[in-house]
Amino acid sequence: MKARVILIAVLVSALLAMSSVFGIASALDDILARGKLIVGTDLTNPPWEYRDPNTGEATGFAIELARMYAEALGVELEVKDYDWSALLPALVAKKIDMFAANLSRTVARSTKILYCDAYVIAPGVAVAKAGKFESLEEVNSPDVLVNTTTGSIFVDVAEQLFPEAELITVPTGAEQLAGLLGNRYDVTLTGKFQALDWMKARPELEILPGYLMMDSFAFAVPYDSFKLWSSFNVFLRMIKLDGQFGKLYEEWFGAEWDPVVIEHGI
Amino acid sequence: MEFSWQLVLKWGPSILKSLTITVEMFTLSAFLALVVGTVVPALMRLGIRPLNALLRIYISIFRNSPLLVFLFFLFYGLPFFGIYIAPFWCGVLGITLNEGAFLAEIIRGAIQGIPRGDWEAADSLGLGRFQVLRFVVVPQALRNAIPAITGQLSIVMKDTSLMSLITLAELTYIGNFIYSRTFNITGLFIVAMIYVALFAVLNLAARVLETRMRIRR
Repeated sequence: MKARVILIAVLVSALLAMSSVFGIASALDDILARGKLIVGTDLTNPPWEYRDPNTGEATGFAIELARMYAEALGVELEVKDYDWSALLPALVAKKIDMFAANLSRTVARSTKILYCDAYVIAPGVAVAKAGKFESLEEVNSPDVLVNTTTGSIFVDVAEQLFPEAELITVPTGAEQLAGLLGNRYDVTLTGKFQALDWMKARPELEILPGYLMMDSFAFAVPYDSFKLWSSFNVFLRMIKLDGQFGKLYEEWFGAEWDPVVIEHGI
Repeated sequence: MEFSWQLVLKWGPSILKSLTITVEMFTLSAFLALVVGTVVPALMRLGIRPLNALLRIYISIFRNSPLLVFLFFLFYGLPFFGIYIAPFWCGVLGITLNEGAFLAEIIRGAIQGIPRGDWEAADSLGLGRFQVLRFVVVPQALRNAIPAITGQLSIVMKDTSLMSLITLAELTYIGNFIYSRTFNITGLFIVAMIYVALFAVLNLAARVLETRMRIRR
């Protein structure tokens, strides 16, 4: 009799242990249970995600979007700040629930993480000191130093479009801008919205004419967080229908959100 | 995230190139840091007051500030004053000044540990102040400090990895770069193994040096 009780106890605890190992509890359930959504980002990329210079608080289009989602779930939002190239490993290792940033969609990344629906299309551009280059073609030359952030989609873009030029990468958007202003390299590759944000207070910079490519941004979750993925996609669809997304878009980019063009682009 | 020999073949040349950069930077900056670390405490022994004050300021600034901050200053800050130093030389300069300060304190301690009798004996032989240091005190002090010095030199090796943050394509940079391109840990694994090998060589050299230099009194 006693042996049977012990046997049952052992079996039950083994089952409990297995349920946590095989991930029967979902990421979304964890988030709701702990009352907190933990997103990872690189807070050096205005206007997408950055620290407000006055308050030091994390903000930006992507952060506010994540905040809206956390509010819709009824939980708090915690923002963890990483170097860009450390974000994907952090997501795979589940140190964060969600990668909330201006994350481009690529096939290579899609083999490691689960993309939510894209939320915006954004062209990629090349930024340089004004007057340095006339056209994008001039960048493809052996004596030009091209820069972007380590692990960004622009590393591939640089290798495709500017194979002759030398490529050097830096960890975050802050260093990207500092190096460009300090002439550490001739040109840097980034998204158009970020370039426009840089140029607001810096008339010495200019965007070279033409786009490098069209890019789309999406949040991402670990591959087995289906519930979270589906819930976020529903949320995104809902706020596009009820106008909240359009309001957020206009607030951050000063341009009207055109669902026909942008949704078709995505 | 499996190990892939294909990636090793594909990225092998880049990894080898980055290894040479790491080794070059280590050799150069370890040598220069040793020079700084030996010359500074020797100069302090000469007893020239204004010079001592300056050297003390140097030591406390570099011992009490992170190397990375100084590197960022050299790399991103100086260009705003119109001064350009190539990333490699930013690294050599940064490590030399930073580790030089630590080595200077190590060797200063070793110099202070030389018995008074040795100084007096050298004096009584008619050696000048500089000669006492050059022929009697510093050689003994360096020998006594070997374990501490070689320990500090392994830190120099670790310091070289910081250069990945100022666009220098050394080992850590390449490991990160390969990972960010392939999402495969092979590159990082190879780089880690290379570091282990480098440290093994360094430790072996330290042990040999210690045995060779040991003197039975």
